[in-house]
Amino acid sequence: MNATSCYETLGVVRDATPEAIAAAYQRCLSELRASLNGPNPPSPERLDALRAAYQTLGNPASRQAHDAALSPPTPLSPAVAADAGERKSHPFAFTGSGGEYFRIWIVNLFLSLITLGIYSAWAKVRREIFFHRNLVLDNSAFSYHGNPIAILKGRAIAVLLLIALTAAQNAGPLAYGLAVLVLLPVAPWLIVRAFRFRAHNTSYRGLRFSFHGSYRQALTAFVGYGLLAAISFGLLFPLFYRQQRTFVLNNLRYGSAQFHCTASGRQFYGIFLKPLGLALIGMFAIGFLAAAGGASQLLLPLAFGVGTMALMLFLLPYIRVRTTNLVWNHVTLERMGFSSTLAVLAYFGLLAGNLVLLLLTLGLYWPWAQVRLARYRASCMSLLSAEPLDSFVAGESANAAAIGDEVSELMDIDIAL
Amino acid sequence: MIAADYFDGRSSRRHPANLGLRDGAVVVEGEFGRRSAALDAVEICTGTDRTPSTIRFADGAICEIRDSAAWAAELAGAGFGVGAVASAERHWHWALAALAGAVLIVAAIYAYALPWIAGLLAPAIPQAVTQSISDAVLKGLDARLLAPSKTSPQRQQEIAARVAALGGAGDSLPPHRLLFRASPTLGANAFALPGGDVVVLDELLALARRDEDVVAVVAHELGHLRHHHGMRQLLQSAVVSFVVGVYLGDISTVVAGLTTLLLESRYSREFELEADAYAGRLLLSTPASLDPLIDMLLRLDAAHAKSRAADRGGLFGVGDLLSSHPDTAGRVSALRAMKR
Repeated sequence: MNATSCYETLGVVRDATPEAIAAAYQRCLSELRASLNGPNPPSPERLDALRAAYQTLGNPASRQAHDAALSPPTPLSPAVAADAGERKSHPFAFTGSGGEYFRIWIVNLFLSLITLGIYSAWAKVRREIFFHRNLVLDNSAFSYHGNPIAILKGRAIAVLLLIALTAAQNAGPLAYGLAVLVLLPVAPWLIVRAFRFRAHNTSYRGLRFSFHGSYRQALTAFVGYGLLAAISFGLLFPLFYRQQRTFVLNNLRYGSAQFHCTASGRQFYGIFLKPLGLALIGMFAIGFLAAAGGASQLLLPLAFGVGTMALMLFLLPYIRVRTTNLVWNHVTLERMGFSSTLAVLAYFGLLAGNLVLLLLTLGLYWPWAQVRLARYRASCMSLLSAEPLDSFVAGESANAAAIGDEVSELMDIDIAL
Repeated sequence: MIAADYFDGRSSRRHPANLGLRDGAVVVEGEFGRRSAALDAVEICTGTDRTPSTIRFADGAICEIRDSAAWAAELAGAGFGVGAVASAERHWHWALAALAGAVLIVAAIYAYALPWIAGLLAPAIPQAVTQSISDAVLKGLDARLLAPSKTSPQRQQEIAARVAALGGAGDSLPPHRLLFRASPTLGANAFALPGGDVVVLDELLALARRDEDVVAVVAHELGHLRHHHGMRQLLQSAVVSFVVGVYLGDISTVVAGLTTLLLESRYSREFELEADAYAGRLLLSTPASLDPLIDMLLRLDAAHAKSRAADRGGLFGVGDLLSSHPDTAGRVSALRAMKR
């Protein structure tokens, strides 16, 4: 067991009695059996993981060894540990259908085209409302409240920035370098604005989310760690990645309840090691090809292309799945926790199927692809709570303008929560 | 009355409630008590079959209604519709109409709006800009594809003089400069750069039987200059490749590149016809005839067909579609029509 501990796999606390562990194992097995015929059958790995976890924890000697390997201690606060044994799992579900989203999407597209892009702000609101309202937890749906005018202003600024950047790029490397230098300290500000806007305009059960990250924190997480990752030739990239994710979650609140993410840098390295090793082997292979044959003029770009494809098709989704699981399995919200059980193979299958259908339909399959992804992601996520979800209270409200959200969307900064 | 969940906006506690419309006001009742508000004082978001509808009160309290259909019917009874966009999103025929409309708009932009705008903008671009672009392109070509010409300076001057004579009879020629190069890779060819440089390759001189043949081809290139085809092509292809890149970039750069090429070939085909027409008018205004131009078109086509065959014929016949000088027969017949 590498990234997650056996305790997490079985959903028990670190000092659980052997009886409690056995009971938890039986409960997990019966849940697994119950979901076998459901719409989202569990992956075979899940069963293997359960068995392995029970074998490790069932034997005092192997349990001790496992405990020793688990340092720092499992990140559950004492308050959680006290009643974690009885935590109930509240699954997320996505209820939207592809056909429904296709109609929204195509009407959005048509109106955006005919209004020369102005409608795209309203289109965004309709899209977000669709994805939020179809996300259901404990019989209540999420909601989105973004104001299209604020989004439109943000888009206008984003377009201006993009034009300025393109102009600088055409004017020469010096101007481009200057523009990037100017934008570098602006980017964290935009990021903070984007998260604030998004969080503030998301609600659940009448309570809003909010984001409290500061400019300084964003500067450290994105620019500081980004530079570190760059000058270390990517060796510190997993830390950079972790910093981004924790920056988002540790500054996120639901009502007045604070999210907290305790996934460690070591755990992120555990995820990145495998793909990084594969990428290195691939690079060596390409280098070898280049050195070995002058005859392989055609082979070299081919190998390079295949390598890039592999990176896009396998490594990125792999990292996405594993880090999402890692992060959410280490998130607490007051006395509650989360469980994320995305399976790498199922996710690959989903992406591959989507890609084929997108190609066959000249892109018209896009809405269905998005809905399938949303459905799978939601189905793998649950909230673990010992008490009903009634006890959250509102925090102080704050206004957030839309600028950041739009700029980062256009500049393609991945800000998926 | 319709079943709903009421949330007071201060806590996440769910209050089961009943909801109804009375005299243009929303009324919510439950164990928490009763509250009502005028319909225009609340924010109503109507859901679909699957998504809940919500009513948001001014103080942030929310009512979540799972049976959206019943609620929509109640609202409709009170004279409140869901809005044009929302109702379009609910019907397949409107969605398909939007799809057809979107395709039509994109096609119209591609076929008419973009060439029109590029045609307006291209002549307004300062000469300094076009010249610097041309210089950069020529430098790149000189480094890779072009070799110095072996044509004697004397012959070069003769051709230049014959080209200059074209302007004497009719309207003045666009500013231009003749450059001579050689390129076994490009074969018999001549091309105009947006700044006014017309590059003539030795291979073209070899293919031509008389100087008139060369002059005819240069006249065609002058047509490109007169109509600012270089900058128009640049502007149009920038837009096309940006849009195609956004649309297809995720799938593959190769697919995106091929699609861009295919879409741009339509523009270059139009440019070729326009340049032919200009060359035709120019040549007819002099004692020269159109025969050299027609002759050269056919000979160039044959020469390139031969080299294509030697290359084992392009991309399974897509080659002709992608070629920037396609449909020689059509061009020749257009020129013959001018002659009469």
